[in-house]
Amino acid sequence: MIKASDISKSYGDMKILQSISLSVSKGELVCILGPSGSGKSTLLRCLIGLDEQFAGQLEIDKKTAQIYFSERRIALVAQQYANLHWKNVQENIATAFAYRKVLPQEGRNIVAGLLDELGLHDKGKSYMSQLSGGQQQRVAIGRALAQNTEIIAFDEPFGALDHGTRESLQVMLKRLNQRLHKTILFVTHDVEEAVFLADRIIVLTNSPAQIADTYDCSAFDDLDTSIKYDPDFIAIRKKIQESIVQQSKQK
Amino acid sequence: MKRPSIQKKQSGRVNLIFIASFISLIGLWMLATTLKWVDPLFLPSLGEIGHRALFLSNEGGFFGDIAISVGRVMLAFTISALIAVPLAAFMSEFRWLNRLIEPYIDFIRYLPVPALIPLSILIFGIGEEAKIALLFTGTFFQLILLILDDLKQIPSTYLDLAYTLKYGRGKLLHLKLASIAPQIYNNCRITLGWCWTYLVIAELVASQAGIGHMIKEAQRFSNTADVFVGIMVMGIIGFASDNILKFFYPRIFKYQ
Repeated sequence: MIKASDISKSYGDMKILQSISLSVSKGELVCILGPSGSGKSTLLRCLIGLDEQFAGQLEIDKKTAQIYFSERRIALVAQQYANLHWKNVQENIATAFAYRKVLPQEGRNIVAGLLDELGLHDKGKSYMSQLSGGQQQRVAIGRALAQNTEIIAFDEPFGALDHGTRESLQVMLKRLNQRLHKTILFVTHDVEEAVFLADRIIVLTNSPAQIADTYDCSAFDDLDTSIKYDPDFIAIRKKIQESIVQQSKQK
Repeated sequence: MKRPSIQKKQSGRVNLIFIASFISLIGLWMLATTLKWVDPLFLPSLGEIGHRALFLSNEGGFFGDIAISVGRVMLAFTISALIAVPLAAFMSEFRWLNRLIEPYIDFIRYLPVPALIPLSILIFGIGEEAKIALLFTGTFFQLILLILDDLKQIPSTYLDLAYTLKYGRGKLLHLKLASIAPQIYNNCRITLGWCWTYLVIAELVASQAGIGHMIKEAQRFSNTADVFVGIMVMGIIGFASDNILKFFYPRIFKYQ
């Protein structure tokens, strides 16, 4: 689905990404991890068309990035809740229909279905200022799903949430994706979150970022969060944490 | 020392400090005029001011002056806002337009409005156009700059969202303006106040009516009480219009 070759990116003299090559299969959920400031979000922005100033080749759905993005987009759920504060929950989710044209009745049905699925059925008329951080992020996820893109990108979406909310959203996202089979790029700094959600984890080195390690986590497809106490889960989590700590120390 | 905090206006609570200071001020004024501490030419008594206010409203055509002044301010302000808001949005969207216009705005907004009186008479003559042009100049260049500044504060996440939703230019402009609508409203409220401050200057230009004209005429004949009436009426109108706009703010922007 996504094939990136030799992606490099600099800001002036400062090199951020160095020759990153990766591929993501259709329906795969890939988490990108790395030390703070390693360039995880920069890599994501390059991959989803928000930053076009980079060297290297990017192919999406067997098309060059230029052709792909002239026709389509990749939905994004960012850490800062990018919901439109002057619109209510229903209207925010329905903004997705600017991208994907649907008939009014179909649109209403899609929004109603998503509100149920996201646990927001009684919040349809609420404004963002009346919602908690977790609820606002559910709205952003709802909009991304309503957009119905083949690929969805998440840039540290649960980074600002408390542990309980974070865990419930992780389960919700995993459950939704087991049904929808979207191709997902997920940037996070939380190793446990990455192992729980990902089919595959890519660990970046310290800036300028390169790919340090790749880990297969597809075995942990259980929706029950108790899997986080599984010895294999703990072992791979520790291994990745050590890898990140090691990368952080390398300058 | 207590923890510093930002003072917020508490609606529904009576401002006792203001009431006490207002009563003291009135008392001091009455004392100063009764005991003749100040020459009545500079400070007429409140009774005299009240008497002149009644006279002007009954016989002097003062309500006509008020209506003319309010009309001038509203017309000039509406033209300013109708041009400033879309132009600022276009300037934020088209870099070339911003580069073309912003230096002129930065230059003109530093010019004192009275300095433009001779030029406005030369261009527009001594009719209504000159007065509206002066009020417009005093308001437009400040308002557009405030809106441009608000547009620069739009979170980048909204621009990312616009890209991922494949928004066209029209939808992007709508998104930008909708996201700063409360700031535009507040800036309009502030610049409407500024527009009022230029009224007397604008009505100095060969005016035959308006509150500014009335004040100017009263000053010519050393009728200080009338000057006070004009000043107080302008203050009351400004205060009232500001409070009306404040009243509607939470009703328009319910989502805040």
